[in-house]
Formats: sequence, C-alpha cells, structure tokens
Amino acid sequence: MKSNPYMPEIAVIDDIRQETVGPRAIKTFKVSFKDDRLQKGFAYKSGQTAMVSLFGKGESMFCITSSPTKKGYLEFSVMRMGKVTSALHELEEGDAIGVRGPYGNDFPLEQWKGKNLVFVGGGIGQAPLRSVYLNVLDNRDDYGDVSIIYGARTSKDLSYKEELFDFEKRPDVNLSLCLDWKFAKEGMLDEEAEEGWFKIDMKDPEKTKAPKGTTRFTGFVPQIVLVSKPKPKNTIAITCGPPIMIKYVVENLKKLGFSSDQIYTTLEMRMKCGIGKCGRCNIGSTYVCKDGPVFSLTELEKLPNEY
Amino acid sequence: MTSSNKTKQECYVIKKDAVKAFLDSLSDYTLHAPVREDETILFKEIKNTDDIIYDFSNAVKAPKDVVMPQTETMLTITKGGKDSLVVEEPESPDKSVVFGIRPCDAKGIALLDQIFYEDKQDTYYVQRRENTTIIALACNDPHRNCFCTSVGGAPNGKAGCDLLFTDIGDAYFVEVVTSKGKKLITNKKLFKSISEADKKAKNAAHKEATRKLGDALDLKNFPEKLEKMFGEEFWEKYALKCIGCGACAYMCPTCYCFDINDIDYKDVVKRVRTWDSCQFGNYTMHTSGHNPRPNKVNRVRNRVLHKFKYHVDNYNEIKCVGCGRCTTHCPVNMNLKAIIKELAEKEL
Ligand SMILES: Cc1cc2nc3c(=O)[nH]c(=O)nc-3n(C[C@H](O)[C@H](O)[C@H](O)COP(=O)(O)OP(=O)(O)OC[C@H]3O[C@@H](n4cnc5c(N)ncnc54)[C@H](O)[C@@H]3O)c2cc1C
Ligand code: FES
Repeated sequence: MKSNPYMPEIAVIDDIRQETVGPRAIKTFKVSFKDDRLQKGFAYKSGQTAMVSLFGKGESMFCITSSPTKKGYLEFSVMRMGKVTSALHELEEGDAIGVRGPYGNDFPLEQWKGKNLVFVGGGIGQAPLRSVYLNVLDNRDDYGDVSIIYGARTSKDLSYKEELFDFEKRPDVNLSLCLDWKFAKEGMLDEEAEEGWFKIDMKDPEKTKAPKGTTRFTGFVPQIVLVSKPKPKNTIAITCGPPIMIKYVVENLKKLGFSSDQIYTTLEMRMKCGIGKCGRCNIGSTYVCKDGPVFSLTELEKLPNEY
Repeated sequence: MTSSNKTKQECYVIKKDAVKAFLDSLSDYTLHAPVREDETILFKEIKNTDDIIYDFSNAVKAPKDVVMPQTETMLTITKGGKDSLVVEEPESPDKSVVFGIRPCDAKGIALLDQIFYEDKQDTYYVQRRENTTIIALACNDPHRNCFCTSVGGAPNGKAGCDLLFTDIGDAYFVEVVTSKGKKLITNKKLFKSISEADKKAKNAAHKEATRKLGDALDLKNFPEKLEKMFGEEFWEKYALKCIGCGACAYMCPTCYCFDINDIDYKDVVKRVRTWDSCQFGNYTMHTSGHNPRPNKVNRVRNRVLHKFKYHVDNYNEIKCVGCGRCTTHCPVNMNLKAIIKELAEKEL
C-alpha cells in the first residue's frame, strides 16, 4: 500500500528512566527506529506528537519530549494511566514498539527568536515543554532570558530531576522548582515543608522575600509565577499541566500584564487516528491532532469551551 | 477523486430489459446493488443479477460500507521474538460497481472524499474509492423524511456519481458523469443514442420528484447563525429526548467517525477499525475521567454543528444529504429536518 499513514515503524527501546514512582508513575523511554534511514528521516519539531503502538494493546498519543537538536533518538515520557500506558511501563530495554508521526503543529520557535521565554509546567505537562527548552538551550544565543517554573507534589514526583538540578547551576537559566504545599486539614496549610524548600508567602506571593538565587520553593505553581514575576515585555509564556493549574497560571500571567497572544499551551484530547480522520479530537471545527496541539491563548479563546 | 475527471456530458438510453445484460457484463467487478430481504431493502454483493430490485424508495442503509466498511482490519501483526514483529497490510480491494445508489447517498460518498483524501490520505478508503464505480439511480419517489433539496442536493444530483440513471418508463436515461463511468459504456448495442423525447421524459421525471419533496428550507445563512446558537439553552430540549444510542450516526451516509483497537490472538494481533459515534459518552473521554463533552447536550449539539457548521467552516458544504434516515430510525422520534427548521427560523 502506498504510504499508509497508519503504518507504524518499528522502534527499539534503548533506555528507560524511571522518573517518578507510585500508581501514576512516569517513565521516560528513549527509542530509536530499527531502520537507520527512518531515524534520520524522522524530522520533528518541538511540540509535535507521535502515536506509539504496543501491538496487542493499542496506540496512544505522546508528545515527543526530546529535542530535535539531538539526533539519533526520540524520547517519550509516559504516565501510567490505562491499558496502553500500563503495558508500556512493563517493557524492558530492547523491546520493540511501533511509532508513527510526527503529528500536529509545533511551537513557533523561529518567531520567538530574540524573546524571553517563561516555561510553566506541572506534572506530566512538563513533557512537551521539555522539548522546547532543551531545543532553546541548544540554541541559547538566539533567545533572551529563559525561565523555567516546574512543580510537582513532592520531591519524589519531580520528573527530569538530574537535568533540572543541573540547570540550578546554569547562570543562563532562571529555574524555580516547586513542591506543593500540603493541606494539614481542610483549608489549612501544613507548616511542614521538605527541608531546603523555601516556603513562599501564600497570602501575598508577590511579597515573598526569598534569598537571591533560590530555586526550590514550597507553594503552588501559579503562585510561583507571582514570586518569580517575569516581565511581560518581549516575553512569551508557555504553560502545560493539569487544567486547574493552567487556569490559575493564565490568571496570574495576565495579572502580571501578559496578553493572550503572549501565552501558549498545548492541549490533550482523546485521539485515535492522529491525522484528522477519526473525528474525535475536534473543538468546534478545529482538530487538535492536526491543527494543534499547540495553541496561543488568543486562538483558544475563539474556540468553543469543549476541551 | 471522481469530481476531478469530469467529461463532456454524454447521454444514452438503455432499455429496462437490457439492464440485466449490462450488469452481467461487469464480470470483472464485484457488484453491489439493492435487494429485498423480507420487507427490508439492502445493498448486497450480487451473485445473481435477477435478485436486484429497481423499484424502491431507498435502502435501509446507504451503501457507505463499500468504501468504508463497518469493521476492517488495518494491520496484521505477527509477533516473533523480543524485537521481531512483522506488520502486514491487507490486500488491495477488488474493483467494484455500486448500482442503484440514490443521488443523496452518492453525494454522501463525495462528502467522505473530502475528509479521506485531504492531507495525509487514508489509504484504506482511497484504494476502495478508486476501485469503486458508482452508478446512481435518480429518485422518482422520495421518502416522506427526505429533504435533499434543503441541503444542496437534488433527486437527480450528480455529486459522487460516475453514471446517473433516470427511470423514463420503459428505459433508463443514462448521463455519463465521469470518465470512470464512461469506461462502463462499452456495448453500444445496449446503450443507444437519445432522442428529444427521452430528454423531455428525463427532465419531467426530475421535476416531478423535486415537486414531491415540497419546499426546501432556506439554510443560506444558517451556518453563520449557528455560530450564535452555541448556548446550551438552544440544545437542551433535543438532548433531553436523546438516548445516545448512536443509530443516527450508524444510518448516516456522511458520518465517518471511527475507533481503532487491537485484538490480540496471542501470536497474531489484528488492528481493527470500526465505525464510532460522537453520540457516545466514551468517545471523547480521557483516561483521567475528564470528558470535554460530558453531557448529551454537548454531544447532540456537536453532531448538528459538525454537519451544519464545522464542516461548512472547513469544506464550505453542509455535511448532510437529507436522506432522512436519522429521523426514520430514531427510537425517540427526533426529526433532524424539524430541528434544523426550528433553529433556522428562531428569532435571536
Ligand atoms: C497530544 C497529546 C499528547 C500527549 N502527551 C502525553 C505525554 O507526553 N505523556 C503521557 O503520559 N501522556 C500523554 N498524553 C495522554 C495519553 O495519550 C493517554 O494518557 C493515553 O492514551 C492513555 O491510554 P491508555 O491505553 O493507557 O488508557 P486507556 O484508558 O486504557 O485508553 C484506551 C485508549 O483511549 C485513548 N485515550 C484515553 N485517554 C486519552 C487521552 N487522555 N488522550 C488521548 N487518548 C486517550 C487512547 O487511544 C487509548 O489507546 C497525550 C495525549 C495527547 C492527545
Ligand atoms: S485523532 Fe482522529 S481526528 Fe484527531
């Protein structure tokens, strides 16, 4: 059959990294196509996705979390959720999977050259952002200030730990890691925080007086945005995470003066075909699999609220 | 796509008693045509052309499955060792002829083409479509729920057709619509040149069928109007009635949503696709439990908007052919034409 878009190519798992543990554990799979030519021909951009097959279980869509600046492999970070993702978590190095793609649009990195970038991620939402900031850091001179805000529930729930801890030492990355405040009882913040993680002023985050160079905070991601106070001038903010986090991150970015066309996110919908045929990922007349998953807030505000 | 290879209008007549000989001559093709089983009219693969019926309003289901089967195997995967997998595609489909499809259902296929040929071509669909020749039979006796003329169609519409036959008494008037259709006109003993009287009879038949359909709805500005009617208050009434069975989608000649699943037979895995429907709650449900269209009101609205607004946004054409099957088969008597009429006439 001539160029069947549903045909997965066989890729082999070269490395598996256990990012987090627990019922919703995350693993990062580093894979490469069996056929070297395919590997070279698989040209993707930051923000694009791919359909991963585990034959007998099915297919699932994942964003490609590696940066296209790194050749020879792809990385997917997979949270254990249901049938396919749980079965993927059982795989070992050397096992084969199917991959088709890349799909969808990408973050407009060309347009962003010369601008400051603020990444705001939470949980598995960091996966798509990672491809972008790794890409940007490999082309560091093309961009202004780079800030990364990333939150997880506890220090055990942080993905890409080593990489991020390395960024703490980089003068050209402004990093803010954040662990969630826990609630002692309803409405009451637990005073306990993990050692070495600076507690922000939850009532008035903007008043938080952290020692210069602090990279580890206790609070919530949207509040860290107010602590970090990125200046909107010539800046783009890119956010991805749980819907509730995105909602408040956007609210706080707007409070700081960001306009809708300066805020980007990447969406998730249930997907099957990945190429605009099966119908299920529409928001109005937009298909997230091919017209997305990357949207500016300006674009999103024009769509019906069905995502 | 058929629409791209239009030929200059060429017409013939074929005597009714010669049609069997014509269809029998198509032995290189798998033939699909309407047959009567008990009281039901169905499109079936024809072994004996005597089984074909010519006098009917329309089949229960459109012959959409000739180009988009309800279930099809996309890939067969044979598992070897740890990293050894053989992934095979199905064999190319046979060449087929669909005879007796109504113009509405042929237009349904033309609307499917828009989706499946666009961008990354859906090879399964495209191969079937390329191998399918469509001989439509103009409608002389529309069903009570038909409304093709309201949605840009006609009882003698040519969209999606390769040949169009019109019943003119003791013969069929044959219009050659595409070069693919022309290829079937080989035996000039069967296909004779037309007379003025034949032409008149054809036009009269079309006029009479159109008359029977009654007044068409005015949907000129309807898609833009729907833009302002997203609010749930417009849809609650209809959604309350809906039981989410999906019959409308399964009967619809233009619905095309599908699901893909793996069936694991231990050593062999089959990746299968099946028709699906946006009327089912699971259709959009994430694993996390989050559902962008959690309620019937979201889903009923999506179906109507997809057909009368979203598809128009993307392809500039209403994605409904007015066959009325969704209405005929709805277990709770939802009437799409009535809904559209009500919404189109509503004061905002
Ligand atoms: C554009 C995009 C990017 C994504 N990126 C990532 C990522 O980087 N890391 C990650 O862990 N997850 C990601 N997801 C979510 C991931 O695809 C789902 O968690 C996964 O498909 C669930 O499949 P399952 O078989 O484990 O669950 P089950 O509930 O058993 O799912 C069965 C089938 O439903 C479909 N499905 C169910 N939920 C979703 C969903 N939320 N999104 C899409 N399809 C779904 C799939 O086709 C799946 O095969 C992404 C989703 C999209 C749409
Ligand atoms: S995933 Fe099939 S249309 Fe988008």
